[in-house]
Amino acid sequence: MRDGMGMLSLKVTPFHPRTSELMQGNAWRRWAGFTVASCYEMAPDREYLAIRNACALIDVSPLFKYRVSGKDSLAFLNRLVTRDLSKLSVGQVAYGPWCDSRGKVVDDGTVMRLDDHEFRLTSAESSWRWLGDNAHGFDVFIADESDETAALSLQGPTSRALLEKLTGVRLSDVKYHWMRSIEIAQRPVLLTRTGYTGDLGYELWIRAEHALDVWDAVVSEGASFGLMPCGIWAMDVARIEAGLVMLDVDYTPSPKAFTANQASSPFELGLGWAVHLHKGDMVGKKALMQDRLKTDGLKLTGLEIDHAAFMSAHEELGLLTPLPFIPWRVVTPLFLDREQVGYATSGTWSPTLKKYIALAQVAARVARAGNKLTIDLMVDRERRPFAAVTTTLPFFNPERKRA
Amino acid sequence: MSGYDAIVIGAGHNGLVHAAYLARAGKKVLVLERRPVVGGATITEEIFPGFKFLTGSYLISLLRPEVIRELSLAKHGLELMPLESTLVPLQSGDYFADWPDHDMTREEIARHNRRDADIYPEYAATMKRIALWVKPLLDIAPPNPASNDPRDKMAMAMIAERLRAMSKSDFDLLCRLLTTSAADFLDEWFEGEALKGTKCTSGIIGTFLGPRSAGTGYVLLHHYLGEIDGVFRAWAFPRGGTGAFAQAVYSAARSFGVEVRTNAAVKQVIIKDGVAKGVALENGDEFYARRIISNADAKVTFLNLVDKKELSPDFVNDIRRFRTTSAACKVNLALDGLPTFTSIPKGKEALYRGSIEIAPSIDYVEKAYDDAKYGGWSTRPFMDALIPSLLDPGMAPPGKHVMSLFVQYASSELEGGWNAEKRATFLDIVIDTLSQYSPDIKSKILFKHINTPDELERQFALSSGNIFQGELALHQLFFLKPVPTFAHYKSPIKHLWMCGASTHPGGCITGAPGRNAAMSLLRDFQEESA
Amino acid sequence: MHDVIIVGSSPNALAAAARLLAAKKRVLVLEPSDHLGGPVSSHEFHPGFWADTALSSAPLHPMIEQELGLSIAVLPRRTVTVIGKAHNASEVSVGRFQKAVLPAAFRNGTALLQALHASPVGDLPNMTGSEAEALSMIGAQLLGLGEREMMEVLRLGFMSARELSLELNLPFADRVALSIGSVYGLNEGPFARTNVWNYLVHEALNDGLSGPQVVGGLGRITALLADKVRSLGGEIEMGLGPLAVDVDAGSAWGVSAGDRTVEAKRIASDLDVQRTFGQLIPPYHLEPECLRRVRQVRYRGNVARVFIALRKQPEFAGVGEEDLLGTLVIANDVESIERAWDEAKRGNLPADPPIFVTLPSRGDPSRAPTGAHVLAVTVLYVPSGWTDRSRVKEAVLRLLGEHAPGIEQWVDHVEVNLPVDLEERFSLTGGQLYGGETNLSQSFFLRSMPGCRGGCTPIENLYLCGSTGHPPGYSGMSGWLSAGNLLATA
Ligand SMILES: Cc1cc2nc3c(=O)[nH]c(=O)nc-3n(C[C@H](O)[C@H](O)[C@H](O)COP(=O)(O)OP(=O)(O)OC[C@H]3O[C@@H](n4cnc5c(N)ncnc54)[C@H](O)[C@@H]3O)c2cc1C
Repeated sequence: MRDGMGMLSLKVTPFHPRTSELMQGNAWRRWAGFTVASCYEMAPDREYLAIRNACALIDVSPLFKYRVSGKDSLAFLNRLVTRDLSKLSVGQVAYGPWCDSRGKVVDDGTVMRLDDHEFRLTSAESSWRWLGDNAHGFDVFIADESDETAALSLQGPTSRALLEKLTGVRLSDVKYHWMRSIEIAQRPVLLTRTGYTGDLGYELWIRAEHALDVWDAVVSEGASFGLMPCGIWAMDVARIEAGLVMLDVDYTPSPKAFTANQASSPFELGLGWAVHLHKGDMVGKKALMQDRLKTDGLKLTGLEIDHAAFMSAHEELGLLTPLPFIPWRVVTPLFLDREQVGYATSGTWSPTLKKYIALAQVAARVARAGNKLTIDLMVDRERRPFAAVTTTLPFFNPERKRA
Repeated sequence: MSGYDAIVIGAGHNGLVHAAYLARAGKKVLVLERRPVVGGATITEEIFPGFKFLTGSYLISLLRPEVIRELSLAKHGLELMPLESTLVPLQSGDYFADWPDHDMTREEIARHNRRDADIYPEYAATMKRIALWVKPLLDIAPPNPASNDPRDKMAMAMIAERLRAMSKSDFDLLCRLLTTSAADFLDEWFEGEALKGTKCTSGIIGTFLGPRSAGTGYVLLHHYLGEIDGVFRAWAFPRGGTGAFAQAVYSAARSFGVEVRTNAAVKQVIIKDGVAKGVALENGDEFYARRIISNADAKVTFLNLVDKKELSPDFVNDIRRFRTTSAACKVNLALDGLPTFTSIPKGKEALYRGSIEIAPSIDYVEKAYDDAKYGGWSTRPFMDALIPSLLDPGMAPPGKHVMSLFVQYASSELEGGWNAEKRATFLDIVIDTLSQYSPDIKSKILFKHINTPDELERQFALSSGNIFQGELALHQLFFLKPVPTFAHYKSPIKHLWMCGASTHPGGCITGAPGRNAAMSLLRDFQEESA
Repeated sequence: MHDVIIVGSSPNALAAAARLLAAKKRVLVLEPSDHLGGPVSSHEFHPGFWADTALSSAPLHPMIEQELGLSIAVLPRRTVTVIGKAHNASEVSVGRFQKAVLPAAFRNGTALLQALHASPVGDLPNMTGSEAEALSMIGAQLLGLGEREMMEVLRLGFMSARELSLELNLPFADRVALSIGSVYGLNEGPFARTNVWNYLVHEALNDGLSGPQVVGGLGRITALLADKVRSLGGEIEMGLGPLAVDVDAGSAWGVSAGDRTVEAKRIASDLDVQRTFGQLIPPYHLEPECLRRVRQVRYRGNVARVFIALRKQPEFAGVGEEDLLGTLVIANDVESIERAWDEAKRGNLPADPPIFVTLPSRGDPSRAPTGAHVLAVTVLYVPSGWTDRSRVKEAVLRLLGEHAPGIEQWVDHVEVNLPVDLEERFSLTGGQLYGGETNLSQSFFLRSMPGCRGGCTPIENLYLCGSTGHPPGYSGMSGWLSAGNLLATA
């Protein structure tokens, strides 16, 4: 057989020359066809701590980014996403889902209003066709800027101070879910006060060819602000604490659902607040009107797993308790009196709360906070039921997130 | 009388599967094969010393997993190696590839057309869902909708129930797919020429129609019904070639006590008072049994092996009109080394291990059909190439390779008929076409071999050389297969049965006709003794 | 406020109007163009010379004719005479299509389709009680044929005209006529499977090659229907220019023409799906998945209509006087028809397009000045986007000249209607004469498109009532059934 037979390769992000130098533990993973870091150090602990106590730099370039412009761009987007964007001012950002005609979530992401007739949409999956298919009859121009736009997420309590130092600009007036054009290393950067960690944080949208300059500037200045490059594992812990759902993990996007009931409505995902039925027509409106009133569906909820019991079960066997510092993503059944009433989709040890938490979807009747369900977990080589109490989300919601 | 329960005419894979199931249930079975080897069109032949050629079928997909389990084929040597990728070299010098990985395939489709890349997962899921609904129909004897037999009624009700359980959009899609052309169907999903080119070929394999002809949608579906390890539409190469699969079934059959005789061509089915009693061989030997089951195709069975006096004129007419025209050829090359496909970039050499399809666009394939449909052949044929020696080094001497090419179209009704010269000319066309994508192929050829439709007919006793023992067409499908009202594997002659690819669910290496017929026949035995 | 506004005025629209009026609904028919009938109309293409513009035949369904007490004078069904060279023959032969020799399955299949065309289509496989009942009666009719005949009928619709010709060993004239009848209106050749279904569809509609001629022209049907609608109290307005259906929150409530808006409880569109959901209402009123289905409907019209004003009755070699009352098919063998399709599918005009010809003035002298004649030519396989009229004219005159020598000298005027012209004139997407190709894959509950059976649409209070629905064609039945549905849900 020939040399090199069998070599396949994934894409890399514009930051790869830097991230690959930092990688210590060979902990790479895939994200939307890209190679990204799960964590850079041997373990993700310090990276997580940076998110909550200093600041963390996360390469989120694999997100898909589209520019939508033209006379009908607002009408078009307002029909596409479930939120009412007519209230979105220039400079503001809105997060929300969008649905298919059955009212099932296709994807979720942010819409940034760059100008009166100019928006940027980010999504977890490629939305090129979906955007095109919805644009018939609208005077809009859609450009896919995914490849030419690099993205960094800078999250954590010192992130603002770091950015102010870098830019020499006061940023406290860039409020939660607003944006500002800035310069870092003389490179233009669009700064949005957004993130996926539930903490004070920003996302930086950078032209791909400027990616390394910006990275280098942020990292060198960041040293005095406790900055750590951070991988997906740590971000995953933070986003579970923040009660944020993840496509493919906590829900199946409807185009990928093999059968209809694998897909979720936004109400089931706790995104009902982002569904504005009073606005004009939108994709899936009819179905959403009905779904809103449904009482037999599932509901997103937080779970607090009885950690004390989990620990004593181990200790009784003379074992130390293995804490899930790396979040798990295995669909795990939940019971009420041995009847399955839902399932957990991702769970983790929360180092901040010192709790074992999980995101779950449960029957609406048990979704209210305070219901005591059980979850089966492994204790050494046995599966045992543990109490898991439904709680409101987010688990962790610091003042500084919106400050 | 030797006291056989059953005599199977033909040791094609279905004949062998059928015999194995009967013997496994304790029946005494004799299989008679006209050729010196078993396997029928499922065979590996060493036509050039040291090189193993796949002169008939070359890949497995639709083989019922039950057959592998129930006959313990793994124990008898069956090893399936899933095929990883598909490469479509394009005329521009670029290529299109289907990788064994979701992300890679997505990226590759997006390279050609981003809209296609977005819809592809939905397409794949939809086709799998449809296959899931249709698949159980492969494993039953087709019920007769006009019959009042409770068994037929129950089966019809089961089918209706299944259809009702489908989602409305899947049901609509299934109906459209069955009745439309592969091209129109694919146009509903995709825009990229290369992607549609490779996808449309599933609609024309073994079918003398172009991708723009209605009827090819159904053939496309047929080829989506296969599964390897639970993966729909996956294809696998059996170590040792498809012949090794036939050998595994043969070995299983013998382990159950089946007696197989080769070089034993049946001349006629012996019928007394309208009941099949036995068979007479070309050499004059006669054998008798309680049931005679033919693995030969419907035309061979009823037009050659059965005295017409025994059949109603209607039935004879039905058999005559059973469509078997064909345009498929099989080429095998013994190569002095691995040929180069210029479109395969460095670092992507893994693509040599998959199938290489010369089908750069629907138009290309359609043109290939147009060239052939009036009794000619394609000047630039569609080809599905495979280098089996990369998957199983045992297929060729060290450092050497074999290449198998499935080629369409060359008409079974060639103007003026086939002869050695025309076969050679068409073989040259195939190699010329191939060398457009692999310029060094000619210099590597040590030996070349072609089976044109006339050769397939002569060697494998396939009417018109039809690779599926009859065309895959809606009007001869399911309860209309091979002919209306005789779709239960039973023929109008008492105790004469059928078990080959001419019967439901049709061609390909499936084992299904053989197995289904055995289930029906065993019940028949049971009812007889009850 | 009107109960129902119907946009468009083909016999389907007018039949729907009549049925609704009979049920005491207030109905307004709005026609954007300045003539009624859509493609079921006639025009004077040359002073004193009249042509049935788009179709050579489009009889009203006998049941509707009877229900409405109309009496439309038609000539007897046309005979079909085929002129052309058989494969390998050196001489042109002329022969009659002998329908009687076709197997019984043809007649049985036609009868079944007629039953199917007259019954509301259920949303297979989940039908309502009455739909299931209607279908099970047709099922019983099928079973009643006996096992063998039933299977014969089932096979038929799946086959290609070519396969069937070979199987039945049909003589030249029969196989050519069958092929032309099977591919008429389709974007396919005679070799493609399931086109015999299309033949049966037109047999059932009685508008195929042997479809009868209406005395006074096709426009008569429209005129009589329009009179009926008016006499029942319906209003008809035409010449309104582009219309728009007003939709709010997924529900249709009116129709606008310019500044004027008329409200109604229900709207029915006689236009095809693509135009209904692209022109009448902006596409974004549909959910994206549904829009995808709209765009998947196929409308690749490839029929051109050429009208020739002749100063004298033409003479076709070997064709009798009687035959001129019928349809003349000029085409060589099945293979050459397929070859013509080979050209068309690549976007070229075939060198020898198959044509069929009628001489309406022969049976109905009112169509042309005394002594003069109208020759109406239907040209197959003119690609949908073809714009070169002169090449089509040349081809037609050459073909006619070959079989009616000297005909050129009697030609006064030639009018060529390409698919693009028919599209423009009658709002037919792609110039497709039936509001969507009439293949098996676009038939029955898949017509007008999946999810739109029985004239229902995803837009509340908006219905389809034209040939785009089930059944195709201009027998009025599609409108009739859709009106029934509209009444049932009212
Ligand atoms: C060129 C080619 C390529 C193909 N490629 C594929 C592929 O890649 N994948 C796939 O799944 N399928 C493929 N097929 C189809 C597949 O091989 C056949 O559908 C399958 O082998 C049919 O098996 P069978 O047992 O029903 O019939 P056959 O294989 O036709 O066996 C019938 C047997 O009966 C014997 N016989 C006939 N008459 C007599 C008689 N009078 N006396 C005794 N014996 C008789 C014949 O010699 C033969 O051995 C291909 C076929 C061909 C020809």
